[in-house]
Amino acid sequence: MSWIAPTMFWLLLLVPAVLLLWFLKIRRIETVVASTVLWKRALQDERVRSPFQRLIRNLLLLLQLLAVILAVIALARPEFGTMRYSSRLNLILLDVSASMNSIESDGRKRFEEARSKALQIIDDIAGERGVLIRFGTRAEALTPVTSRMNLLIDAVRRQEASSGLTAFPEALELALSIAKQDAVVPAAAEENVPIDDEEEILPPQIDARIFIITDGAVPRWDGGPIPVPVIVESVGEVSSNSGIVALAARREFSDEGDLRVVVEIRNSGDDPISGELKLLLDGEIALATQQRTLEGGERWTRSFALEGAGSHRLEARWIPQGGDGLALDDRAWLVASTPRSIQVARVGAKNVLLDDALAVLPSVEVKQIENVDQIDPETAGDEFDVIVWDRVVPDRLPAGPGHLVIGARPKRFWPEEVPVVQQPLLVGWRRDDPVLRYSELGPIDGTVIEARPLPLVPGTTSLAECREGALIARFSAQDVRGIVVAFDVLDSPWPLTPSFPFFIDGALRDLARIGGGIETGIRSGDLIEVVAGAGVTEARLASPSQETETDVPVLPGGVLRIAAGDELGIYEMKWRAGDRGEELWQKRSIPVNLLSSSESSIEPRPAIGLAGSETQQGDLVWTQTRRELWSWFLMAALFLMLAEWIVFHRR
Amino acid sequence: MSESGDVSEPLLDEDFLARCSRLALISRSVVRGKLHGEKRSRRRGMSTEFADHRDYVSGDDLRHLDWNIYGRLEKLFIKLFEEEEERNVVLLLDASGSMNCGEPNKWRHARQVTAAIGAIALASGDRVHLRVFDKGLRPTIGSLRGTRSILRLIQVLDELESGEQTALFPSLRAHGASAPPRALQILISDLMDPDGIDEALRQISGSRGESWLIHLLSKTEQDPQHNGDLRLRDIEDGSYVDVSFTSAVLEAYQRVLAGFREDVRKACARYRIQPVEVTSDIPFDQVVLEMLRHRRLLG
Repeated sequence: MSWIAPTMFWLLLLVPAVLLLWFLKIRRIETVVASTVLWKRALQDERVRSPFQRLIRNLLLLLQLLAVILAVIALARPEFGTMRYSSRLNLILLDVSASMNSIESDGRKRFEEARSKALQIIDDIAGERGVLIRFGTRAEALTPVTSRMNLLIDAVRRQEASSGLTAFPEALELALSIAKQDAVVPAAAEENVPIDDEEEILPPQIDARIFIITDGAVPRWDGGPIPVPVIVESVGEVSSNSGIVALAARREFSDEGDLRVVVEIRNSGDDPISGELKLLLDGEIALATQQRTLEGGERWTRSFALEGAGSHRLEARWIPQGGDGLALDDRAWLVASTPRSIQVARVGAKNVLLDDALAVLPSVEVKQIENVDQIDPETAGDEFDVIVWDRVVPDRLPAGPGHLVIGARPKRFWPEEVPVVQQPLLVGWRRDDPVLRYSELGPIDGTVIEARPLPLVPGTTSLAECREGALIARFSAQDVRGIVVAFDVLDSPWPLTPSFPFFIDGALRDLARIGGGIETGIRSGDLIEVVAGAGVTEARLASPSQETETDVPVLPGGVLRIAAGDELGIYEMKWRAGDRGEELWQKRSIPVNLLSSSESSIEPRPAIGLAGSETQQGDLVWTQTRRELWSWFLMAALFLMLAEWIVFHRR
Repeated sequence: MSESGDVSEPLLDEDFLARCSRLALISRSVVRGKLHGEKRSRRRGMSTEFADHRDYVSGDDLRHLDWNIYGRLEKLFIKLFEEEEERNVVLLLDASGSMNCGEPNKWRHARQVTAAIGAIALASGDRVHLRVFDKGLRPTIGSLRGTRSILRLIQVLDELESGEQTALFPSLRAHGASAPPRALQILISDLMDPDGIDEALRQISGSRGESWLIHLLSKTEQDPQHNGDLRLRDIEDGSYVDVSFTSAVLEAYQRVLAGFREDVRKACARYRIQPVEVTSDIPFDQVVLEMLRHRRLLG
């Protein structure tokens, strides 16, 4: 038995006080009587008939003392059990993702039920140890491993559902990591018992179990078998919901720069849902309301053309009739802005095809430089956003601008000579990378006369690779970053295809960190990153409702980075250099959206994908190895007080 | 009915004294006094009231021959007449410390009862002897006779102070040595004597006349109303006993008190004493007029 509040034992000083009161109480009042003869006989008679009367009188004192002692013990909060590793570890994973904001039929949030279940579990595991992990956009442990259930309860009560996605695999990885750290070393190893050569050395025993409180809208776990029992507490009943799952826009290739907007709405439930779609440009309705009835599971994609040159805030609003289960996915935002031109230095001999590709790109200003020596490493960062090295590259790349190296090898990352490969066959490329998003690399598959495929080394990642190495790769270090093409583009038909200028455009925008003027947004909890440039001294992030404004730390290079909050909408990052006036604030709007089919599918799924690991449903009967006992001691104290009262009045 | 009354008031009021003249103490046995009195004696003697006949024996007074019977039966019979004698009433008053205790106070109540009985006795022509005792018999007050002595008796009782310890047996033995023969002895006491009562009551045995016992207890002695933890100190010897007044203790006290009264009754039966149990909350005149009459001790 251990004590949570042992300082309460100071209250045992009350025991002498009780004794003092007892002796004060029995100081007798003197009364004169005619004779004590009869009284003496009566007392003698009473003692003969009730030999326990004296005991009963002392019993009162005994009962009072026992009641005080038991009450003090109750205040000291005794626990039955041990703090040793034999106490089971309970990892409670609480889903706080956007789908947990669903409104149930009783009008309560789904997360309310999850919170109640978490509290119930904590009550059930009293006497054991636990740790609370929440998972929304990120997974984080909210408490240390503790046997103090109050810590867990307080942490659970503080939680609210977020508006982000479900980082379930990360949460499970974190839970397993904690469980493995908590593993018990086998007894044989503990006691230094010699182990025979043939005897198997047992792995550490994990005495833990994982509770997952979720509605089941979680990504599948592919991290292998889970070595501890997993108990899934499923919450939620409502499944009817519809919402915006995609919102995108791009500038039309026209002089006006009009916007082409695509909205996708999905009914993730089984029942038809009618609603209307509105598009608001800078808060004003841009298009007539679109009415639509969506059948169960139907996706509705609509494309709109808007006259929207310049900077605008666009909001898509889906208004289901009678509302639906989840309100978070009924609105989405994006920001269209006019991007600034990219300052590019092209270094190297004349290259008509490359120059033509650079010339057709909008918002790109190119400065031709023939010799490497003409680049001043000290000022290059201020002068250029990107330097394109065509078949030449200095030993030391200037810090600051991005680098697109074509037909050469940055020696900082690949100092050794790389063998030549004739007509390398393309194994694959990363189609989802922003650089290659609009590029089709078929033209370089087996058509490059000779290339020098680069092996992957620390600080490099492959964008397109052949069997011998990367044909296109990213490289980055603390002060330099860039993209390298491991062959001379003139040795391939690639510059003659539309894929090439798209690649150059994507690479320049990526390296210059300048988008296409459309901010489709990030998700709740993701990092907002703005490269504000050197000299920034102060930056703030305003929430969509403008209710909160947070100071943003300024990182080296004028990088502003902060996690978006739970509120969905358009955040505004503003910054300024030096202590200048308010009008010199520079601003950038960043939309934060949900836009997730999985979160919009709020239908509860009792079974979650755990790659073959077995799960159990909740409502188990737990073996209790650790209990707080104060309530029993308090009840015993009250019982003794009652007994004392009864004995006193029966005398 | 009169209450035991304020201590500043006289022991007996005039109304009660007026009623005393119509009352007399009733003896169930023959009493004999030195003088011819107003009480009919069982002893056949010389008076005007015919009682019986008996055969003439030599030496009888011929003046009492019944000549009428001799004329009819030719036998000599002597006429017997009831002899009227003076009766001695001895009032034995316990003046120990224990009598001056209790609520209502027993001491005044005992003196009122004593005065009332004495007044009735004097009013009916008895000779009254007042004997007061505590740890011993106090100096004897001379006997009183006649209605004119009633005020004297009341005055003596009124001025009487209670004493200290109780010594029933030595006191009553001392009384027995000087008691008038065949007297009506009336003991007024609470009998609170740690040495017991049996030997003491034997000293006033009814075999030598007639004896009454007015056993007086206070209301608080009969039904204690104490609560909590008390130290009871004996008014006579200063000894004490610590009592926690629980229901069990009170029940034990009632058992002991009942046993004590039973012992008194048995002793009285053994020694032919008429017991009258009285508590001090009963007014003295009710004790005298109702309780004694009910027991046919008063006529």
